[in-house]
Amino acid sequence: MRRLLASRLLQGIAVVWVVTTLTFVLLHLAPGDPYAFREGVPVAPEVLQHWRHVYCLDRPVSAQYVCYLRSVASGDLGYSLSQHRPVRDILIDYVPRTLELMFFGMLASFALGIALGVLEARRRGTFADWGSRGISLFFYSMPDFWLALMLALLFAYWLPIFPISGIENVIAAPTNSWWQRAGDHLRHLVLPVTTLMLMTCAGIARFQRAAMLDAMRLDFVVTARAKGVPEHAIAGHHVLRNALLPVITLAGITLPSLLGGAVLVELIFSWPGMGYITAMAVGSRDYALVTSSVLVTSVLVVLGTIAADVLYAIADPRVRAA
Amino acid sequence: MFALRWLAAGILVVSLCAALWRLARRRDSGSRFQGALARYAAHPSAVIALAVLIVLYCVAAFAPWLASHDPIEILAPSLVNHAPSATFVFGTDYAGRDVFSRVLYGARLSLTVALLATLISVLIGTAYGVTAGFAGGALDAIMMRIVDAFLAIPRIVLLIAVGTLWSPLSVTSLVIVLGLTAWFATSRLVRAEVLSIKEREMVAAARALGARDLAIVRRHVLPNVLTPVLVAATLGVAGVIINEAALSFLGIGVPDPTPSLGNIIRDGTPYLASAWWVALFPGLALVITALAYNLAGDGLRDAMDPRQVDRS
Repeated sequence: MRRLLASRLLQGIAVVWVVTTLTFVLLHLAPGDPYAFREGVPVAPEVLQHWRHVYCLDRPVSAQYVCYLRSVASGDLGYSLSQHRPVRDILIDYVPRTLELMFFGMLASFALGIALGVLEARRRGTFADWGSRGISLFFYSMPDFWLALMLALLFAYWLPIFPISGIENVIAAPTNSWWQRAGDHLRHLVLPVTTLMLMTCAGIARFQRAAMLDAMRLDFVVTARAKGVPEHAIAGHHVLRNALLPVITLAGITLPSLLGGAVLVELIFSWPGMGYITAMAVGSRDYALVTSSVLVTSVLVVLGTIAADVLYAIADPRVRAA
Repeated sequence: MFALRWLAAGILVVSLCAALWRLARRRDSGSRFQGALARYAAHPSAVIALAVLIVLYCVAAFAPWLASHDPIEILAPSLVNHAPSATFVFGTDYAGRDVFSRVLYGARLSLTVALLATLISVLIGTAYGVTAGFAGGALDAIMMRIVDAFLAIPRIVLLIAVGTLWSPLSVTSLVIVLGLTAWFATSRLVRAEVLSIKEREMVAAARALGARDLAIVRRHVLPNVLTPVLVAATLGVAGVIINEAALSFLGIGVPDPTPSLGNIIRDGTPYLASAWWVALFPGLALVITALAYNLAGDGLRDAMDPRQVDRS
């Protein structure tokens, strides 16, 4: 177990190092200076010189690379020119909001995906199986931002059930009690989480369905059926418990697509998370902020993958032994 | 006149589909290709998907001829955010441009960009995967760690970073950027195939006969990785189309007056509540395209790999 964790961590560090190198190369190849202020903004040359000196841009490339690695390792991700404060402070404000969205999005999409997968496997070949797979593939084929827009149109404009943007009702918040505020917050979560759920549940359902069908062929299932165990008990006790294990690994694979989807979903629902500020940084061409979000998402993905691997090893003794 | 053109295009598409259907149903020759074709034809969803793709590409190819208006011409000040009607089938946008014509031209651009970008990604992914799998050892390990790192970055985040740093991207550089960010999964797939092919007797025999590495790759490896690569590419086009739309939606893809499915949706977003048609129709075109590619890819996978058929 400890060896597994150590090797995964080493691999993860290697991956993050390669990503850091990539962002350095991107910054270096990009036209213009990352700390050149945009035209129209008068800036004293001393200020420009200051930032160029702080981030080693006045030194040779090899020294710049070492300097970049050192500052990233110490958590200094540069200075945001659009928000006029260090990128690290911005991320501390915004990343928890994205993590919250990820948590609920993951929970919802796994709940729906596993339920659909079980349903499809049990009703294999029927109209329910066919229809469920068709509908989930339909949502899977949708661009995330368009799905978000259509949900906003349906459930915020036409049927004003859910709020369209933000994380809470700013006008009502000061006078609300804490539980009213919590309810309001949950109502704001519904549309973004639904978008993420519909986007990713098809992959999970497909995987779960295949795992169920594989488990149904195992010998002890045949034995249980021969002994006369009712079909629903076989599905619950024998098949599902074995078919749930491989789905854990899927958590690590789903994370990149959820994090990617969150960028545009956060933008459309004005959810103040990392994706939202990344999309905002596009317009202001904030180099430091955009490359930092590449770094931070990759770190989150690596951590998610390691967590999934470890969970899988805990859940399945066969993996632990290997 | 306008309806007549659509009728002519419809007849062309239907006869094309019918010809293809007859080809698939012919069971006289027992070649591998015929077998795969028959297996593909056994999936009704995949057949419909292929027909939809044929329709989409015909519409894209004949867009200038089938469009009812000029896609970038501002028609009249009174025609701003005009609801769908007989003359403007999909309505007009905030500038008073015909959304139907913009969707046709936008689909033409999006489909072309996605196809070219996928071509680039397949070429790079195959070359990379074959090199890594064939070389083995330290080079393989390093090359695969690089792929791992790229796969750890959500593709849209990477695209946003590149798009922001090089801001106004031309359509050519958009194709290149989309192609350069889509090959990672393909290369991993190809490498796995190459590793298994390398162990087969035919490669050992070829080596014993004195064949050089390049000859082995050309004669034995490439023909055998073609099948999984084709399936991955078909599914990959759907992903590239959606990513191109996302970039254009963010304003770093296809530049403004030129319509692409993504930037038509962008034009409609501020007016979503009052002029929903501007954002709705290009999105539907995107969903239909991506769905057709996904279904065709699934059908292709089953057709090319008969061992897998009974699993689904």
